Amino acid sequence: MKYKSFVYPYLIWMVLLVIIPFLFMALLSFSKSTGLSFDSLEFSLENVKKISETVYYKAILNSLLYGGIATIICLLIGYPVAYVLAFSKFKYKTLALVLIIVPTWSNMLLRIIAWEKLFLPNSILNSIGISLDLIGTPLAVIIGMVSIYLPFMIFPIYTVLEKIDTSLIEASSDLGLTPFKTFLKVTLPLSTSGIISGIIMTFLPSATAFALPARLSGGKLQLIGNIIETQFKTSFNYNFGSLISLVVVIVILIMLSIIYRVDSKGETLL
Amino acid sequence: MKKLISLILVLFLFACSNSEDTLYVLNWGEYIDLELVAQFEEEFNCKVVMDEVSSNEEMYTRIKAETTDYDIAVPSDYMVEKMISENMLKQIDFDSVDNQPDYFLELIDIQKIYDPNLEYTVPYFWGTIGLMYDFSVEQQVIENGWNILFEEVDGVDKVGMYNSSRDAVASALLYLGLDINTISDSDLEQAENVLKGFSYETFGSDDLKTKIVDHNLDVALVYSGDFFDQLYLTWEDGNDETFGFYVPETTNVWVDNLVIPTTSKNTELAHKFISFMNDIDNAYTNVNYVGYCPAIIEVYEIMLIPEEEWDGIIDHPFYFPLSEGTDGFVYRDLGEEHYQKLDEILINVKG
Amino acid sequence: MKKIPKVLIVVFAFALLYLPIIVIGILSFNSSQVGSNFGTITARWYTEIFANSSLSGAIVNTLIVAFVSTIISTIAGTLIAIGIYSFRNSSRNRLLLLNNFPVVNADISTAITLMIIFSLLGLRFGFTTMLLSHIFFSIPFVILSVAPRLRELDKDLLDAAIDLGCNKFQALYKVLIPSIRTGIITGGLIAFTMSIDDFVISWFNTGNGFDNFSIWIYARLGRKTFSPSAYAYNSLVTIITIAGLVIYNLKTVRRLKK
Repeated sequence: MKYKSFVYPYLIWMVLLVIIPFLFMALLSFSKSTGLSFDSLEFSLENVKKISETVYYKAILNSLLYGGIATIICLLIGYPVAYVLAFSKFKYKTLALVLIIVPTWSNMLLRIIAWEKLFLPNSILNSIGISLDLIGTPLAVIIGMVSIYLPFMIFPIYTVLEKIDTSLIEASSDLGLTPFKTFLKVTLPLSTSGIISGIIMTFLPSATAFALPARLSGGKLQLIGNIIETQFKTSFNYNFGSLISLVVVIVILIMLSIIYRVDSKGETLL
Repeated sequence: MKKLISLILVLFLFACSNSEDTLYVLNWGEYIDLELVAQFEEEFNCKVVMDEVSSNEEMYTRIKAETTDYDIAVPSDYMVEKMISENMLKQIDFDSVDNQPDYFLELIDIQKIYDPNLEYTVPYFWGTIGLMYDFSVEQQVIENGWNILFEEVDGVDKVGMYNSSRDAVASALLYLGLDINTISDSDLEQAENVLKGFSYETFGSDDLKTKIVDHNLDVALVYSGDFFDQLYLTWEDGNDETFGFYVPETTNVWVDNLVIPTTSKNTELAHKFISFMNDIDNAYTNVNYVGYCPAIIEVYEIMLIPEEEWDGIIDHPFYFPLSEGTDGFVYRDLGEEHYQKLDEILINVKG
Repeated sequence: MKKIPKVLIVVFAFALLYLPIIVIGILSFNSSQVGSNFGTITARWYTEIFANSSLSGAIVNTLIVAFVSTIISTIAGTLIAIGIYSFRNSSRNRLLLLNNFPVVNADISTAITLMIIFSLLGLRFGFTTMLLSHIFFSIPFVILSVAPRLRELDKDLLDAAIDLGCNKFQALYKVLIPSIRTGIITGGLIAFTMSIDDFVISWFNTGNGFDNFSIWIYARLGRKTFSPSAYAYNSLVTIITIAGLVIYNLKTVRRLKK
């Protein structure tokens, strides 16, 4: 195929919209200025010093913690669901999979509000005698995260499990392995790329979310997304905000490079 | 393929059709009667685009970011002071403002603090901060005042704090008996400690008042108008209120102002807007919607007329910001680094 | 595995996913605007969707941006993917890796980098910036959808087309694109989905009153100006989508049976 020239505009596009802003953000991270103007730009390490303050460390740790727990729960629920669907002989199993994705087409903010309303002590649940006084608790945030990101765990795992040649499984049981051992030695290894996709698609958005933790924790939880949002929308501190954003990006790049090493065909995502 | 391209062009043109005269306003949430805005749009054949914020800091950042060319903004006293010092505001051409009513003298005294030559601002509403509470904890609130936000009190379970660094810290400073405009590190450290030492049910803004009405909160730090606007809504629905409002003796008094940021591209329309909001009938309609006390004396005097049926409001001890016995202090501009310090205190407290 | 626990976990997952959707549905019929207690059942929020000018404006904006960005990013993404596959394996993989970056990058980081470059370029924030940002995050997904189809493609197909007299562009339009059609359609659907529901990236990259549905909601959280018509609109979309899918699926299954 001889269409190489189609790529060059895209490279320019990526340089303009990814590389250049990153360079600028790096510049902002190590300086003091008013917003984006060059007027009073002066070199400064104060942003780097700031990030070592406990409250920001705590935000980063909390993001990893909440994102991590939500991802693990999504995996514990999502893998079995994907497994059951992929290997079932249910006539409408594709429909079932699509029905799992349908909630993601419902506006995420509205779904967060719905959970918020359920978690308030005085809510519509009172009419059936329940009062879930959960706003502000970690449980509320985790439930919200799992509810929103579960489809992103199920879908890649299902895709990968579906492709597994069932004759492999039959062969394994013919050779005398118990269903459990078959799962461990045949199915599970073959589904790793799906698991990795699922983990990335669940962990990254939940760890960097801000609307969800803000609403379901009653404004008390500060995750890295909340900190970044505050810097750019309330505190007008583009310098510190840029630094934290860059830290997030670097962490993501590290994760990407680990995956690239594990799976060089680039098949993991989708 | 061709049909596709023409479809895109049509949609593109449709979305770009901003040819109407447009006024961009940056306001607080629920701070203007939307029917009044519709009236303005009709009268002056224009479109009003209104964005809302829930803190002065957010308002400042939105204007500074320059992603929208705001023609009108509604900052409070200290933020006006800060904006003037950073040359962010246009001087108002009072010759183009047809309606220039009289404001309360005490209010003008405050106005002169942040706008000494009265050139950049037109007062809009004024009020205080205070405690909105569910009737079930009325006694505790009146007995404890600001303490209720920082100390465990019997029977008071869920306490809400305002998600604004300035106001949250100010309430702590008022509790500690310190100057609300202090920039001393030790004072601020004390404030941070008392805030940290208490476990709040939630940090919110416009949702605090509705949570009190729904019995999801016992008491919260709010702005005075938050209480009154919920009162209007409750009475409109034909119900009796289950909540009250109390302002401790020493508090913060603030004045919100209409200003024209330098980003304004349509200054003529902005002046017309200011004039429109200062028309007595319009201001009176607005007061019916917004729960705050008007800045215009004549509007207040209409409210005093018994036939207008403002009893319960106009005679409420805390409707008029500088009522008998209230020692109100105004916020001052604190200088660049101190706002960041306040923001950090709030982040620390939540963390 | 026994049948009962199998079904149980699927049911539990569905419950977790659909509980908020059901709540939204209930709230859309609740006469009480606040939604913490039940008023009476009413359909007024549905009939009022388009009477509410700020809401309908936001919905229209969302749809316009979604359609335009989907069309542009699907076309661009397809062509770029074809371009990527014109390279040999090693370069190809590097390009695909670069392409993966916007996919994995956190919403908020993408939002901020775009906001910064748009500000530096002096662009007027609003429809244009929102559209550009949606195109930016959609193209990589289109590429990812089309790529597998390109990989499976019969290399001789294009050569045959050219041997038979097609020039480069005819071969592209009449042979290549039809054979990767399913990838293009999937990519388009993904792009549309991502655009319709986008919040974070849009919120940082709009201005001058151009709100989309998500921004409309976020700006009104907890305030009087929030109308349950938003719940109504959302429920309508959900029901129509589910109905459409069920019907489509039933038809397909029936067709396959024959």
